[in-house]
Amino acid sequence: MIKVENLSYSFNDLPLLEDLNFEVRGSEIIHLKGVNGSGKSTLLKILSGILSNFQGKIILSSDNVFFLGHNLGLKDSLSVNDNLLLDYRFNAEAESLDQACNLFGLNSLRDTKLFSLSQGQKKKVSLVQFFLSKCDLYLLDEPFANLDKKGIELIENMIIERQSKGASIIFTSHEEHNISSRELIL
Amino acid sequence: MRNFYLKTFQRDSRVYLSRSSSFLGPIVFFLITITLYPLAFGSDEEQLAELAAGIIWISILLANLLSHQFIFNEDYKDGSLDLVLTSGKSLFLWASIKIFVNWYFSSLPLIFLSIFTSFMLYLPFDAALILAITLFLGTPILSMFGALAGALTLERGNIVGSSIVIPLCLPALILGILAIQSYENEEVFFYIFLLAAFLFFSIPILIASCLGAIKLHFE
Repeated sequence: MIKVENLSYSFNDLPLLEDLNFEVRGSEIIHLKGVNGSGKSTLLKILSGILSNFQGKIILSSDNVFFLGHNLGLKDSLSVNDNLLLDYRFNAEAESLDQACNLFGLNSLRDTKLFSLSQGQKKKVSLVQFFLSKCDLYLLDEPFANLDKKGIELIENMIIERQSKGASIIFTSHEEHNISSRELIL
Repeated sequence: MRNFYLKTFQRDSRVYLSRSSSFLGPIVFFLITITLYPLAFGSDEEQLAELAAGIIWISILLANLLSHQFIFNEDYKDGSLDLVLTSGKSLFLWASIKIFVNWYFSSLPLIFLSIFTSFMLYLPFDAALILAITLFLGTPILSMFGALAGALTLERGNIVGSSIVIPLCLPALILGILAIQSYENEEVFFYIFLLAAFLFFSIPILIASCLGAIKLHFE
């Protein structure tokens, strides 16, 4: 459960979020929409605990949160395998790692260092992390960006599957996705 | 919980090992600098022995500056820091591990190298032992000040950071050099004690300051 009451946030004295109120009950998929600079990414960063100097009140029923930002948190100088094995959010067993990499077509790239991958391939590595993690709340900032059609479908299915297991998902995207239970427009 | 800190240590170590410039850079810089001093001052044994403590400490301080940018800057740029902030784990321990890994890969090799190079500068054996002790106590202080400068200048880069680090490191530098210069007197213990006390009190204060500086970038 997430409850946001009178949330306001300013960046360099410019108000970005003003008096925002919303509630997420149970497992829901929320599509966060808004024009560029409307504060979508900022809202996700506030909910995940990255930004803390906001006004208002936020109640989260669980602190088991998965955050996927614009910067993916991957190390360019490490291989795909190392990035996945050394992610603290899950303990990847060989079998599940094989399955996840296979699903995203990354099996042949597992020993490749990230700096030689395309943006789309890097995104897929971070989505393998999404696949392997088990959290109560997923905050996904532009999860469909840089992905091909097959990748987008995979993520949509993964989001639905997480919801069916009781998790809440809030994602931002400029495109239409008919997987969300409701939309929140900033 | 242990998993988070262990993986931070393993991940950072792998990053240092995979990017040789992060630990080879300071070593090469240190060796070049140490070699240049005798060429500039001449090969007079007494003169070099007198200057050796200062030469080695200053060279280590300057070589360390090359590696401080790696402590937090990359994590900030690639989004790893965001993930750490969402983890809910102790940031104090996390920062301590990151600084330790930086010290392990950047300063520890320089300490061993400095013992060998001290003989090149005609430093007596007893003084070389004191040099090693002062470096073991002093280089973690340099790393922590470097981390603080790195945390303050996450978006600005190395030159601003270096200009912050050098003045802050002067007390450690002076105590280290005084200890080596007084290696034949009892005063050496006093300077080593002061350096140890400086290290002891620096750990909580500087790491907490690093975290405060990092949080400034997330407001």
